[in-house]
Amino acid sequence: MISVVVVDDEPQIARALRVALTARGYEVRTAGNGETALELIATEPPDLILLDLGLPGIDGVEVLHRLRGFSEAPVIVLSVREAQTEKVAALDAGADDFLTKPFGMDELLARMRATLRRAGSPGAPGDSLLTYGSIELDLAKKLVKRDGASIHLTPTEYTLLEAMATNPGKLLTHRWLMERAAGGVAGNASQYVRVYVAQLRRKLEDDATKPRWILTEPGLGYRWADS
Amino acid sequence: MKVLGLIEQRSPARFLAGVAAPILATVVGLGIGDERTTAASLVYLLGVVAAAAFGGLGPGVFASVASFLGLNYFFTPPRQTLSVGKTDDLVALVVFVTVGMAVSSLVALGLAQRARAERRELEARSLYAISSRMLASEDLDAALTELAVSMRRLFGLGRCEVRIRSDDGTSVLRASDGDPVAGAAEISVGLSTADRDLGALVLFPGGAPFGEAERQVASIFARQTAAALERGILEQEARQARLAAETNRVRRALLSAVSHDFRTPLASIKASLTAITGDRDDALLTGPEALELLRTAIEETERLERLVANLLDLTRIRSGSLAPERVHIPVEELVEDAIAGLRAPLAEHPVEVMIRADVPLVDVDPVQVEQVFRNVLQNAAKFAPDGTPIRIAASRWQDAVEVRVSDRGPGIDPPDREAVFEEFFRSGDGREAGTGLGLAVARAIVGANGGAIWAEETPGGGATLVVRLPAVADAR
Repeated sequence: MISVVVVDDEPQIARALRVALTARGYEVRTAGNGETALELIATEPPDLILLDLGLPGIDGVEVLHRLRGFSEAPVIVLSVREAQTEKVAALDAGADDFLTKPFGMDELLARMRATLRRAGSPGAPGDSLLTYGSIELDLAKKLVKRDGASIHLTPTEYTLLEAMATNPGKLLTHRWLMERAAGGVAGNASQYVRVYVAQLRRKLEDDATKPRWILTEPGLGYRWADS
Repeated sequence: MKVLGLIEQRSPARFLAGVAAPILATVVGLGIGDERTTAASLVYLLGVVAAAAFGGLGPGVFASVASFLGLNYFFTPPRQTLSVGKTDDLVALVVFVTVGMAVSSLVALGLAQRARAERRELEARSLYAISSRMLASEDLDAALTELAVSMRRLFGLGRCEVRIRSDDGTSVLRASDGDPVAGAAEISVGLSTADRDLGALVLFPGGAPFGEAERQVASIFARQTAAALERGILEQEARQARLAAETNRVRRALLSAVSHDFRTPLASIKASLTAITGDRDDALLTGPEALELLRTAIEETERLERLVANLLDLTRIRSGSLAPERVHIPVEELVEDAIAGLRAPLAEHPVEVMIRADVPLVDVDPVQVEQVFRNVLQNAAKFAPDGTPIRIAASRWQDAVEVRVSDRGPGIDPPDREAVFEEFFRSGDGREAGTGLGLAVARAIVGANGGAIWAEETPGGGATLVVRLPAVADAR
């Protein structure tokens, strides 16, 4: 049975999640604040954590920071739309995905499944050949083909593409991507990443204005399409 | 030179002074003896001075000439004729008439100056009074009407109008005094400051003449009025700017609140309902789980409902469209009704009510103020741990009644004691599903009912909310 810890200070939403997830076969424990949540997670590590950012006492981002000290369990952040900067901070602090309140349960279940799938197969090492539609990626030879034809990428573009394509479905922040592509963060990360993503889209997408693979998460970063 | 109203109005008496003084002097002089020329001339001189003092320049000159003739006829040899025998006498007579005229004009000049000074003082006083009133009063129109009244009285006008230029450039009659004068020539004095043209004072002369001097005084009035008007207008603009800023602040608070406080119950509702309908793989959820989810959705719908109701109340009270209907009522009635309406939330808290017998009736809207107590009690029940008592005490304080609602909960941090009355304030521990509006509504209502509400610390720990309500003047 997959175990989930729900961290939310609103008892109503915590109850709704507990009932709904239990009915879908998950084992659910709930916590109303950060301290209780860390305790629950430390005593019995869950498979997945649903974390609300607006918590009393230590807030959600701080919970994430402390959590990452001892747990690698995937975290989906739940928050209201206004907490944009908090959301980025949470993702940078190691959250795996986010969902804006109010959300539908079907959407949440889909995100949970995707996150668990990624967590269950951490970058299968032997698998060096990735195929997404007409795009082929040979990680061993660092080669990219589109419709069978080889495509020339600069080293930065290739690093960025590899970072995204090996994390399908995951929300990747500007900061995280810049760290991968440039080896660190200096200046405006979103501006930096945007420039390279625009070039990648021109080279890889059928229509760069309607991307099929590199999807934009406004204000947060990018997501490589899952399928 | 212009001789002023004070004396002009006494014209017949003034003329009489010029005639009577030489006659009286002749009678007195003849009584002393017609050979006493020197004494007689001094008596005549006294008469001339008196005539000038009472009548001014004209009567003074008239008295001088008449006295000269009398002195010549009755007292200068040869007597009973107008001829003069000796050169000395002729010199004396000429000197007399010269001195008489000089004295007359000096006395008249002095009088005129005094009258002018008096009028200047009057003008200055009314100017000062009007401009200070215009600066002080909220009611600019009353001050402008007063200006028109003063102007009309001061200059003896038939009518005085104050016309103010409106925003679209047309001139609007803002204040006036006196009945419209048909066919009279109007005199317009502009009301303008360095920065703007504000309008004009329009004067319709009545009986009294209106010359250059009056026009100058009127323009001083106009300048003062314009300055006061401009200040008034600027103040009004500043008030409007403050109001707009406050409206904006409330709007921003509302917007952020709507985003959070409305979305939170919506999130529970949506999560609960979509859990029941299921996603693409699953069938409809049924059984006890579905019931629990539906109950959650209903609870949260009720929370939204309360939120909307509170928000509406707040808006109505603040905008003044929910005016209190005040009655004289004992405070315990309000408190008891509030407690009766809160059976469920107060179930876990013993409530002690202590209201002294000498507490007077309060003068408030009972429906509104009962809601204040309901909100305050709900708050206490929400934050205080189950089982702890809530105490309600009322006492007289000057001409008001103070009701203290004390709990034994965690209390309110001193920096938050004012903030809790702001709409959508969240305390650090927002575990309960409040609307964030209860105390804001309470404060708005208490304010509209002429009272006050604030937070204190309960001695020994906890929060005390003090509701001060206006008492009925005669104690029961």
